[in-house]
Amino acid sequence: MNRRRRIAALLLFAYPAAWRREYGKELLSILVARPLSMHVAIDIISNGLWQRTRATHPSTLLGLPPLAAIVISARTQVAIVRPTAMTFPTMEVIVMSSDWYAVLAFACGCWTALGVRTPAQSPAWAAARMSLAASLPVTLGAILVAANLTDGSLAATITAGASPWMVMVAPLVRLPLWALWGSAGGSLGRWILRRLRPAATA
Amino acid sequence: MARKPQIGPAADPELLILSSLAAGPNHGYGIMIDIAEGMQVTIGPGTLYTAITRLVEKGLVAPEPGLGRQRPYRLTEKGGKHLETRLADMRRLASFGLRRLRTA
Repeated sequence: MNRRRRIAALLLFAYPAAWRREYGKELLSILVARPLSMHVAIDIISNGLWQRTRATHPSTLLGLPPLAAIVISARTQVAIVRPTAMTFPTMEVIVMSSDWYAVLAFACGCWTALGVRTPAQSPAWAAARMSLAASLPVTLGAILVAANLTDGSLAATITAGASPWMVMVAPLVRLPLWALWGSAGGSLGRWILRRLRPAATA
Repeated sequence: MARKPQIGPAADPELLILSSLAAGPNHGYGIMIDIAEGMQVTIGPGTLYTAITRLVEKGLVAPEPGLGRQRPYRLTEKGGKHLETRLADMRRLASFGLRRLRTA
């Protein structure tokens, strides 16, 4: 009985903390009262992950695909940054300068303004936060290069021969641009809200 | 013997929970047993509480203060109307399909 309770309590960790505070005790008592099969475990884990996804802020969810793209480009030795004369500090992260990235920042702002299940936040800040999340691999990579902790080929992929300090700063330089896209998306989100719920936003 | 949920409106966890609560307030485990006995459909505890969370958020179901670890849930007025509409839609669809089958 104690073992079953321990396993059930462990399974509940698939759910976000806020959800566990609200429904955790009830679900735990059901899990303890009935046989704990593999089907039940899969049901709990999949639904727990779904609740986590629902509770996650749009900026985190939309920051993950570009983050993955940057990690994959680093793994496949495709240059993830390149020199450019357009912006200070004359470096750009390829993924973060694509049109798709602008669409993501716009969508992040729009989603945040719609405020679906997430606390209110400025759409511009949400898009900037998304960008900061996506740039983590680049920043970490540049730190590794600066500390001489990577081999030559990976270092060349990450920095494209530039100073690692410049690579660290490069994603920050474009933050205002992504905040702007987020703000534009936020305007669309607020417009949708006004159309859907005129009384609520008045 | 309870069977696994099938795809279709009659196995929709939200609709099943609302139907179960139409008889009066009940707690999570009670709802599971009621659905298994009344509809021969087994809902996993995770699926049950995901559906309850959604129903509470939509205001169709509300928790009541309860003793112990199991908190009862009740159908709200909005939930009752929603259930009536959904069931009436299903009845219309069923009678339409059955009429067409008989004339075929």
